[in-house]
Amino acid sequence: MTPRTSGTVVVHPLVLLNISEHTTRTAAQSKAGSLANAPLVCGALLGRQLENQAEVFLSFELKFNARDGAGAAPYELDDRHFLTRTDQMKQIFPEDEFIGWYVVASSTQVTPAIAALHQQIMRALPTALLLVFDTAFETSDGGASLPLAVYDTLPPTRVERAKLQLNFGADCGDSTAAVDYYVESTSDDAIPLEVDTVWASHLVPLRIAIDSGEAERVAIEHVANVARPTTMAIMQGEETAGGAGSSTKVAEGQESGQESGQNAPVELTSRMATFLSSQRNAVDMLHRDITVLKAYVGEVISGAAPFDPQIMQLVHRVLCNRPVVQNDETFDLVMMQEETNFHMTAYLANITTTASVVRNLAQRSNAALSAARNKHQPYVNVNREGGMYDGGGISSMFGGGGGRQGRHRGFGHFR
Amino acid sequence: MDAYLSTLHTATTVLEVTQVIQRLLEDEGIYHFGRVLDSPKARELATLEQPDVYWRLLELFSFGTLSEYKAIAVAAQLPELSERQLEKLKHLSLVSLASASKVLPYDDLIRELDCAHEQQMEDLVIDTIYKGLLSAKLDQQRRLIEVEFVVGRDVRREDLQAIYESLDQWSVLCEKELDTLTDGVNTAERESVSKRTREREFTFALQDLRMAYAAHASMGDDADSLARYDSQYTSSEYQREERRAGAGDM
Repeated sequence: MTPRTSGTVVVHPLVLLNISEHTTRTAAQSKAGSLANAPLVCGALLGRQLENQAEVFLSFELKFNARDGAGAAPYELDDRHFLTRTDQMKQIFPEDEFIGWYVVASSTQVTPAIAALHQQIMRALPTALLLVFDTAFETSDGGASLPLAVYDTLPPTRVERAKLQLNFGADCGDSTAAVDYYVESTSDDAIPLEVDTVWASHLVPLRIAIDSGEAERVAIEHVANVARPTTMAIMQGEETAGGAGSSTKVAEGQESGQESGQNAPVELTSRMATFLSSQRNAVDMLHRDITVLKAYVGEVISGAAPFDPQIMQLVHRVLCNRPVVQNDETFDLVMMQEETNFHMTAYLANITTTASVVRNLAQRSNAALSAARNKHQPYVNVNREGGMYDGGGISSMFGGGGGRQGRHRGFGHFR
Repeated sequence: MDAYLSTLHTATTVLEVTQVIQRLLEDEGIYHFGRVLDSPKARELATLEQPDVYWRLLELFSFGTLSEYKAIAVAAQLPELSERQLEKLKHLSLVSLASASKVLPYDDLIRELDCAHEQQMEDLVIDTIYKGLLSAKLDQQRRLIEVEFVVGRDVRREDLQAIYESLDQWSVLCEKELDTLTDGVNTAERESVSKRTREREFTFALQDLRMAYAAHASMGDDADSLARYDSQYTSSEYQREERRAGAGDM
């Protein structure tokens, strides 16, 4: 059979996010704590398959049960779970169907274990795609390409048995060599052949393209820029490792003056920063669209692009419909009302917090004083037990001793 | 529109072209004539010795308003407009006005659209809204039209530069806004970081004190050790004095 020319698979970033999240979660939850010993991380891929191009939209996790005794196939696909999930997904996304599966490994090569699993998947779908996610990032040349490999399963052909064994024994370190992978097909109605040949399917690597819809772009930007927490490590004179985020310079300035003995990186997210970041992302996307329009109009002016009245009319429409804030009394009035409301609420909140802090302070100091003096009890506070006996916080400093019938000398000097 | 274009294509004489244009202008659904203006047959009209009146009319419907029509109708010997054509022109004039400004006062509209009274003008606006050319709110109390969405007029080649400059200005504004927002984000994060640092510093200082405290707790008098921090004297001698005095009291 003539091999198909290398097709393309379009992967959506959501799938990659799901896979990496799954991997991280499994690594965090497993007792081993490192990816080398983590249980098998794999799942199903959903999408659409057109004649030469497959598009992967979604993914979900698959459950594999460990099977004892078997040598090369230590895992077995849990069919029931798989069918349930597929059905559920079908209900929500009727257009997407199961087109393959993914597995996470330390390189993008197909190992015998993976091949054995692929065989099981092939029972459900003979032309399943296999996506191998490389967590060791060996194949990525300086971060330029993605640590992925997607293989398409061709219909089975006669393959020499020797070839099956040969390539799996290949040195996994040599990732640049073009290795042919063959997975033995397990269908029962295979025509029996000579001793040395088997029915096997060729796994052909596909070209990967990434595509994203508008909503996905916004989500990806959010994950990449906004949701990343600013970390600050408080260490004794050591360099911070976690100076991620936009406050690196601040973090480095802070940690040089620390003398405390704690070595814990602190995660800091400012809600205001998150809010402003999302606004910035929105404006950024608008700006990008405007740039595209501007480039197009520039080309039309210079003659590089033809003057199409329809399109120009639409561009003009965009400009006509920009929202405008004018000097309008009604607008000003409403705006000021809203502003005043917000200010008052914030003010009120501040006053309330201050009042409660002052009250706490007064209570505790009075309690400390009165307990020490034992003379008059006018300001006995209600919370003697609560704030003073437990060990945490400021209260212990002031009232811990006083509560225990202590002999507090002199006036309390509160710093 | 395509039907008109194909008919235009097959037209041979100037008269036929004129007729097609006439029908086009009459058509209730078509408000943008850009493609016709570009078509070669129509352009032929423009290159005639005496620029054909219908070409001028087409141009007017594409780019001009009612007032312009009234101004040049006699001079250019433009043909009479039918009822529907006139109404179309009025709609188009309204669209031009709405493209220029978001708030349209009633009086201006009444004048521009050649209406006898307010009611007529409002009906005209409502018609335009129903036709999908405009989306607006009529504020009768303040006698305004607040425009939300408007379908633009056709674009002339000469307008391209203006469009480019508008886009450019908009782009610059966006960039400035982006910078402001980035600064805001950085400031907010800085503040948050410094605030948390202070809190952590305080907690650590507190813990240190407590630990140092616990080391001195073996003086036998637990409660006393706390007194160190609450006494008005910082020196230890004075504090011991205090304690002795206090012991005398109790």
